[in-house]
Amino acid sequence: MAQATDSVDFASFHTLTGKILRGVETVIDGKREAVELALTTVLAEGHLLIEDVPGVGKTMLAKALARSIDCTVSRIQFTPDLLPSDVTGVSVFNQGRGEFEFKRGPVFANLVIGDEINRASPKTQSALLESMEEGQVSVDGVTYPLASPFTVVATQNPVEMEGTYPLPEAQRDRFMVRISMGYPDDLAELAMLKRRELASPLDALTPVVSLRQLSDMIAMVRGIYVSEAVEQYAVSIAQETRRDRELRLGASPRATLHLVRAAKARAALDGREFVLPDDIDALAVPVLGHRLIASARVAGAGSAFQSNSLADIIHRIVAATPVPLGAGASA
Amino acid sequence: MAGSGTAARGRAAARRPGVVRAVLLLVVFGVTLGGLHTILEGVVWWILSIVLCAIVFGAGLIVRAMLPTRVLLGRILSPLAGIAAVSLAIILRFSADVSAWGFVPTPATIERFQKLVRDAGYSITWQNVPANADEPISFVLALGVAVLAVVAEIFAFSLRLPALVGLPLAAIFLVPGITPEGATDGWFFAGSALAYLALLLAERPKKFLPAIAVGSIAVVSGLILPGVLPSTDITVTSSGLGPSVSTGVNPMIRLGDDLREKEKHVALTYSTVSGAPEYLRLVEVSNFYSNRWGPTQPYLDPDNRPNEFPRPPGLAVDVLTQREVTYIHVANLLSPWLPVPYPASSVIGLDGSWQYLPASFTVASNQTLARGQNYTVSSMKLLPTPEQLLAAGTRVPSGLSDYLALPPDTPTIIADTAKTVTGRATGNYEKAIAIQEFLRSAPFQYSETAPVTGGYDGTGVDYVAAFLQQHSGYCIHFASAMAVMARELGIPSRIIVGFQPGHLQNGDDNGRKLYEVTTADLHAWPELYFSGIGWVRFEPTPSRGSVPEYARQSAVGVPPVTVPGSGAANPATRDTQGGRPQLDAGPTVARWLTSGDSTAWIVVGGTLAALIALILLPAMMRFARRRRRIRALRSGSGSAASAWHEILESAEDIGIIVGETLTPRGVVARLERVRGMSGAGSDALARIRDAVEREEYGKPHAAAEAVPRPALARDLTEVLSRLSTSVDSGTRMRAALLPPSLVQRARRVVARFA
Repeated sequence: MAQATDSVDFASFHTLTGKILRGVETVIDGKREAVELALTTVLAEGHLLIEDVPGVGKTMLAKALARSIDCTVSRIQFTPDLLPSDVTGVSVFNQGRGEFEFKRGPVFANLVIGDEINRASPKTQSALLESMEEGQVSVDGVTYPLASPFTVVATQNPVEMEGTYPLPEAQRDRFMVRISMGYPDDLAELAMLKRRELASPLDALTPVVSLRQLSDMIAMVRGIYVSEAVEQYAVSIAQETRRDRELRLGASPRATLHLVRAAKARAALDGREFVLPDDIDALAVPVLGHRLIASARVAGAGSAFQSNSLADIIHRIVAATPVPLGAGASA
Repeated sequence: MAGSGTAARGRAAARRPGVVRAVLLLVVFGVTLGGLHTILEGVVWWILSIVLCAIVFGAGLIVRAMLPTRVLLGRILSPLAGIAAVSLAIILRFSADVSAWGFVPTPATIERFQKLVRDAGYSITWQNVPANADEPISFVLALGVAVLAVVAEIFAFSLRLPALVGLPLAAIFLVPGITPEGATDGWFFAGSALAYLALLLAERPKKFLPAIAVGSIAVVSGLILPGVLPSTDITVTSSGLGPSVSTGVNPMIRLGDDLREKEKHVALTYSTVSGAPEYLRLVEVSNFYSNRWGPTQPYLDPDNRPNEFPRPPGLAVDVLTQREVTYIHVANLLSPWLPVPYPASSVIGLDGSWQYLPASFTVASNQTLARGQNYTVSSMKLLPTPEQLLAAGTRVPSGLSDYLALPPDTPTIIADTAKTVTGRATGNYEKAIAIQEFLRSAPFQYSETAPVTGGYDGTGVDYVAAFLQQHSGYCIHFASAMAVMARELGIPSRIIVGFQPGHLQNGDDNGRKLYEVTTADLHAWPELYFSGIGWVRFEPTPSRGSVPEYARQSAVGVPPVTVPGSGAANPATRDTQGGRPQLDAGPTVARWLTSGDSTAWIVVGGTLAALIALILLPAMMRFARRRRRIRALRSGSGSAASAWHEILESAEDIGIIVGETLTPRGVVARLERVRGMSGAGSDALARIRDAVEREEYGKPHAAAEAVPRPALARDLTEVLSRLSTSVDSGTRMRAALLPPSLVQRARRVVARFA
């Protein structure tokens, strides 16, 4: 904690995150929870998957988040004909210098917005996802490290939509958090209309956090304390997803890792120096939801509701997992 | 949503294993079983029954408490647990010595039980009512109570039809009804009905009218059934003879009541060949030790068939006898004793198995009753002359010591009076005449009510002493007084209970004079033994019966008697009764308690205290736990988690479900919805939650800088008081007396070991 607060202490952390949230919220109306989760993911060094029907502001959220942070941002619009090199970059022969020169692709940025990621072919998808996992790109035998911090914010349409290539589960597992925007309520929708009469509010958005500050904030989140009890709690939930009869695929160890890391960021955002079981509870669905696969019986009940029923299953598991609470029982 | 609501209600219902209902059920059984005091003596049997009921209902409660989520399984298992527990208890109580390790039944256990059942049949037949609840009777009672309690448990909990509990209760009420001398105690009946109604109302407070209806039906049927059902397994052969007359095994018990009864009931009719009236004997009472005299349980030798009697004991050949044949038709007399004149030489025409007792010449059966019997008795009428009686002198043959025995604490007034009365008389005959005349003269008077109001309406030497001072009583008192005084003077004596000759009727029986004997003719008289003659009847009761020729003052040869004044009873002698009414050492708890026996108070007080302590035990355990936690916090040693657990358990106690799967924040969110948990209460709750979170999930070294413990203790008491005031007083009471958190905790402990 002491090192983490060298440059960014709790108060300034709070101020800065407050600024980011307020800024993003001028663009995205009435979606506080989604915005907070997005920021949580960035602070926890995870990747964010925003999944929803078109036109609810997925890309807008990604852009607004990128605008609020003074960092390099790139945007890839995934299409079926997009090639892996369009993402990672390509070696081009420099005739002047008589050698191959690596032209860096859009993945070389602090924040990469991958729009409609499931419209690209699996080959291209995996090019991005491999770099996401490894933090580097290898082209022609040369390895190029990616920027740090590095966050991919990908959006995708629900798998039922036409012309989509669903992400394989192995790749979905690399996203720390999946959120779903959902339609705004009527008041929020009305406010959105008013605000966009004259200009796009996105243009008015200016960076409020420097890259350096973001790195410090991320470092601080790393230093958040996780007690053994809470770790045990997260593990219990993960174990339970593997045992549950309604689930065909349970949470991976990476999922548990992501859950705890995201919980740290959430605790920091909440102004706490330690993680609570409540953080785990709150993040269980966003972190685990996209990784689990319901068993045929549950899925067959209606695939349109699959994510809903998965959320129900996770809620049930969380509600049934005892919260570790000390030895006071016998005191 | 609706589903979760139902589930929550289901859980809430399951959390209450029916403690209130079980307690009410126990009360109902307690009161109803208390009604058996009319046929059973003492309170030990009652305590045993209640303990068995408590075991059955308690086992059910525990099972249901341990299976809060599996309601159906709990309902099935709870009566089974009751059966197992109560069986164990019965084995431990009645056959621990012959069972393996005290509780595993062996063939010897079964044998023991069979023997107990056999003995119980014998004991029930021969014991006076109220009977002493001896081992066999206790065993049968325990079996019956256990079965009925399990049936009630099934009705009340497994089937959830508490109204049907009325059936086992009615079964209990039937017991005094089918006992010849038993009577249902109205007070206990009313109390039982009230408790039963309370049980129904507690179950369905909204369905008041149906409950009343069901309760009324149960009450009315309980009242009617005992009268409707046949009293015994003997068929009524003499229908149309009116209500039954019940003398029971010990006619002494109800003799006074029967005499005082305004309405007379015909007991029997008879006719004699000679046309002369006859005294008819039922039982002999010769043991004057206990405080409640009655015939001793006889040994009925199957060989002693009454078709031929031996020669009467002590009767010499020179005594003149007159042969008599008596035709007796017994009406509704519920008695295992047969009315027979003395001394009979044969009884013929009897139904069923009857035996005579060689010492007393009484006839009894342990299989049937006298009701409806038609039989013919051949007997001798003893006609001893005064000379023969005088000649007996003071000689007493050996073998009659039983008829001379008196309890060591016999009040001296009896002996003093006897000596004063007999004065210079030398022979036993003269003494007997003197005593008879003394009792037949003023100031003695016949009264059926004076002993009751004077508090000496009972049998026993103390009552005889009281009677000698009060000079008022009925046949029992006169007969007892004469018998005891005779023994004081060395004359063998016994008391006979039976019927005085009755009244001549207008009709006839095959040309013979017909006599009718009613309840008003029930009578007791002394028989004294004279050497060479045997047992001779006397009649000390004024205005009752007839004085035999050989004891009549007017008769030739009978020694004259000058009756001393009323000062015979020396006022300076020990006053055994004092002014305090001495009640018959009867069966009810009340009588038992008023008997002045301090052990009674200790037993009842101890039982009550133990019961109260048992009821308060959960409350005390819970209270101690809470106080320990708060004290620890005040002293700075307790943990925030302990405060938190206290809140969780207190919430659980008042029915707020805060399981262990809720985070502290989840618990706070739930508790903040509780009425009154706002402002200071909410703040205190939040502070405790903060402290718990820091302590449990924060950095270990940071816990030290958490909220100071005494402040935490204040917050805790604040939250607890808000919780407790948020519910109505009934819930609060239940939470205090039967805290569910304790059950939950017990379950966790069990689960940990399982």
